[in-house]
Amino acid sequence: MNAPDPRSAPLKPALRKLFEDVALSREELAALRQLERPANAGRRRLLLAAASTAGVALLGHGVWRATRGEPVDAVFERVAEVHLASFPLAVEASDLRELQRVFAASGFMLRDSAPLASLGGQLLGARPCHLLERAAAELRFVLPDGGWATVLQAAYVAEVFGRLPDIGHNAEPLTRVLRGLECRVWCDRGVVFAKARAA
Amino acid sequence: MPALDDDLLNQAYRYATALCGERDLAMDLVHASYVKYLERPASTARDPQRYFLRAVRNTFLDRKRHEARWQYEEEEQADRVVGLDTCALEALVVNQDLLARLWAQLNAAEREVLYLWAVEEYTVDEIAQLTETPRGTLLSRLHRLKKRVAGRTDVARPAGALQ
Repeated sequence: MNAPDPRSAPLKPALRKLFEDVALSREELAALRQLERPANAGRRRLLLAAASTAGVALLGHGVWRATRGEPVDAVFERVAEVHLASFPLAVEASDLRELQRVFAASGFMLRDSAPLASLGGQLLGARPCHLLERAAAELRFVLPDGGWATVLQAAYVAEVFGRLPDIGHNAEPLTRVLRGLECRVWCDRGVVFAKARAA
Repeated sequence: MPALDDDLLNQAYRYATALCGERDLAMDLVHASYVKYLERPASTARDPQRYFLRAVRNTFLDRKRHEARWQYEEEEQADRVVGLDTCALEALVVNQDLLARLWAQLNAAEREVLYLWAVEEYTVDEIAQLTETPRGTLLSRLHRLKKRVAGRTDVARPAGALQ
């Protein structure tokens, strides 16, 4: 008789083990708490309406399919998906420093990057999210033409995101048109950025 | 509706992860559902926990319907259900690594019923109530899952079987 497989267990505890480490991070919980603030109620309604008409969709659509390809494909898919979904913001602020203070309190340091300045838009706010299952932040900008831009940022890990152009070394961001959006991906001082706006 | 504590938000996040199959989308789903939940008047539900889980599910389904990708198989008809004792499911022994691989192959409906049964420890009746799914349909789904898991001899053997 062979020795019992130490990695085997009855189905129920084995399934529970799959979810053992599934929990919201500190910054994600903080973001959900921000939604409880009465001051955000009007904004929540507005953004919820926008979300419901913006072709929300897409759940499960992009990333699963894209992650079978190169990581950068999944990054492009994800930023397009988040942009179209227009999820409610957790923190509203037009000043990056204010957002940095809020996110820093939960252990996430928001960064600026030169291509963001070239947007010429006004910051609306931010919310925590994920990028390829890594903690990330979504920033949203209103653009001079009335549209909006979405920027995701997360700590750059080459094994997760693959090799990305580093603008600190004079590389140009990768650009793709996806679902009618112009999307750009780059890396800057150890942070991966992904931007989407109407093409 | 009243704010939910961290435990309930984490419970909803795990449920959303089971539905979506991945965490990127689960956080988005909880976020959007919590906004809707907070907008509702406090008198809407007697049980905020169940109400919120249902809000997560409904938000997920809305989006799936939008994609027209949420479809259960035709054979999930209550009249084809044979008796299933959930003890039979509990008796299965699985290798953790192979289970993780099998989990990735399941559809959202299958992940949902297994999650609620195993992690939340809901009875079939409670799952039927939460998901507004006929009991027979759930039993059929569990029966097919049992066959699928047990049919993979590299995945599962009855408890106590010789290796």
